[in-house]
Amino acid sequence: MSHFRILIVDDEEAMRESLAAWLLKGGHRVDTAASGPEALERMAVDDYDLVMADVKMPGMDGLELLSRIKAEYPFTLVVVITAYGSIESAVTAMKMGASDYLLKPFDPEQLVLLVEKMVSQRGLIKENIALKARILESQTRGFEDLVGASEPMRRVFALIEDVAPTEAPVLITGETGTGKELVSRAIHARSNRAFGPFVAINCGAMTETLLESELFGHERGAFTGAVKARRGRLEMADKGTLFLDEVGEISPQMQVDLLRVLEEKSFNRIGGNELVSSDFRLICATHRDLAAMVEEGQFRSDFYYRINVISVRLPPLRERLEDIPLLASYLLDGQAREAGRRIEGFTPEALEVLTAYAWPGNVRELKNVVERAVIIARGQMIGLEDLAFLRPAAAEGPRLLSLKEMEIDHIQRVLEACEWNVTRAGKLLGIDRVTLSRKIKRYGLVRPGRS
Amino acid sequence: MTAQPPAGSAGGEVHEAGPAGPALIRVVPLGQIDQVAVAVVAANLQALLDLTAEIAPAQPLPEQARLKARDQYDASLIIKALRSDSTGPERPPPLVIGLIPSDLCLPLLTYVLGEAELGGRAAVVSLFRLAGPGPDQTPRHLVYERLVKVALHETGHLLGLTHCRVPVCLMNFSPSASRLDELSLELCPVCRRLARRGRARLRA
Repeated sequence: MSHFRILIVDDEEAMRESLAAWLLKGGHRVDTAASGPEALERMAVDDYDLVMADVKMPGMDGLELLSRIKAEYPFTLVVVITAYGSIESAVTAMKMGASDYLLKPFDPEQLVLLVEKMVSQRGLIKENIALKARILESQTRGFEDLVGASEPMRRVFALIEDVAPTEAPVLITGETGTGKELVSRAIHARSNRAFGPFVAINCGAMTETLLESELFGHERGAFTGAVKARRGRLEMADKGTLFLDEVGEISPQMQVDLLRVLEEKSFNRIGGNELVSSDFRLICATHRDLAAMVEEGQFRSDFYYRINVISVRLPPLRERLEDIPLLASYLLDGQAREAGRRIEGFTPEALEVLTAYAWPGNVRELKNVVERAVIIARGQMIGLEDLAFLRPAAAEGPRLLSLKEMEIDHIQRVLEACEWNVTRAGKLLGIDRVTLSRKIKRYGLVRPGRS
Repeated sequence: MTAQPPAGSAGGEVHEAGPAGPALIRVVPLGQIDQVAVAVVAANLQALLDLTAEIAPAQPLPEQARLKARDQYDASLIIKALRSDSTGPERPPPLVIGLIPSDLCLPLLTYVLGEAELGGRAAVVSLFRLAGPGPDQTPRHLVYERLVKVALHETGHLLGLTHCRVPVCLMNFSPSASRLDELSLELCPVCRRLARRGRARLRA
């Protein structure tokens, strides 16, 4: 794009028309306005790439017009024109966001070069806008992954819309696999920080020492193995959103440290003396009942109240069974496309089975099930036979299981729901990792797809 | 490139140069202008833009356009005056271009080499800066060549052409005498086509 839509604003007709005539010869589309208010009226109906405004105008002067344009049309470039002897107004204009200024009278070459510069700047801005739109689109796809027409989900969507534009910390609660991270991404994508970083960390997946280092970063030599300085996630989230998943796993000491960071918006890296500041919006998630943990003294109340300004509860899948057909179809579309298979949908019997199942692993488990079904399905519809690996009572008929069978079944399901993360599964089952690993070995439990 | 002025041209008559047919552009000397320069411009307008040209009698410098403080003439005011000029025995040509020895400017611009309305009727060109800076006398032929280029460029605007990005095209923007020397005396193929269209509109 080398030609512009330009608006010239000057109360002096001769100046206006003369500049317009010049720019027209450059092949640009030019409109004129005799005053600031007239310019704003024009801008309300037409898009302009560049506004060239004289600083000295009666009523609304060029600087006030500049400030209005920057507020209402942030992507429009503005060049102010001012007379020699009033360079201060040019400097002020630059500080207010003008792209450039011209001191009249100016050389014709200066004018042509300036417009060329604006054209190239505008090209960059447009590229940037397009890029951001693509990013936003891909981020809001996260919202589309939160599929649901049920009342509980509609409430969640409405809450996300309300909460997102604020800076309030959000605590997302819900069982494992309900989409807590998706919700946090959806909030981020709809916030004023959408173009900033989204930094996630799973507090349950690491030891306290590792978590501290991941969050706060460290200086070189802070501990054995710290061969170079490293930025922590708190720093990386500056101007963006920090998502603390499984915040219920954080130790009381870590809660104190984080509380201080939230209050002061600054911290030291491990082994560092320099104060690092970071301005982030906090979203936390947990499957635990933090309120109960606070009452039992297992979670700090001051930290709890700090992170729980807004609460979003994600319903488990069994509380929104009416969403299963919709969700399953949505997941099927994605999985089939990825697998390069043409699969039209589910048979009514298959849907019945899906809807009857309890889904302890929630949406994540459903996604796994659909993924497996897509792989093993022979025809163009997912039928009962493709869901045989699912062990709901509805598929096999009610059966009385021995304790051992129930244990195997339950462990298998929890492992699937946790994507075979033994540490997490152990926590859910209330046993330690080592014990769980022994049971897996004893019962010969094997992750699907592995020998 | 150079041409002799037609015989008897000092008598205040309008002279046509070139092929028969009504003149499409009138060349108007303003003030004391070298008559050879005037003839050269007329001849090249004809040869290179296919615009039958006539040379008007010299007119005085338009004092109403003079900006005393800047010692320059406001090109837009000269164009206004030229636009409304209808001297001559018959209907004036659709286009008119004035040649002026003095420095030209616009209120907003420090100087211009020439000025024209896009798709309009009138243009004006100055010889003032075509001799270039420095004490050495620029060869006459070079001054004429630069003058022709500016005149053709401004006339291009009258035919509706805007600035062209092709570096050597006559319609490429040139702010200085030295930059003018880099231009060819030709329009690029696209501008040539557009000029033909502009001319056809004049003849219609």
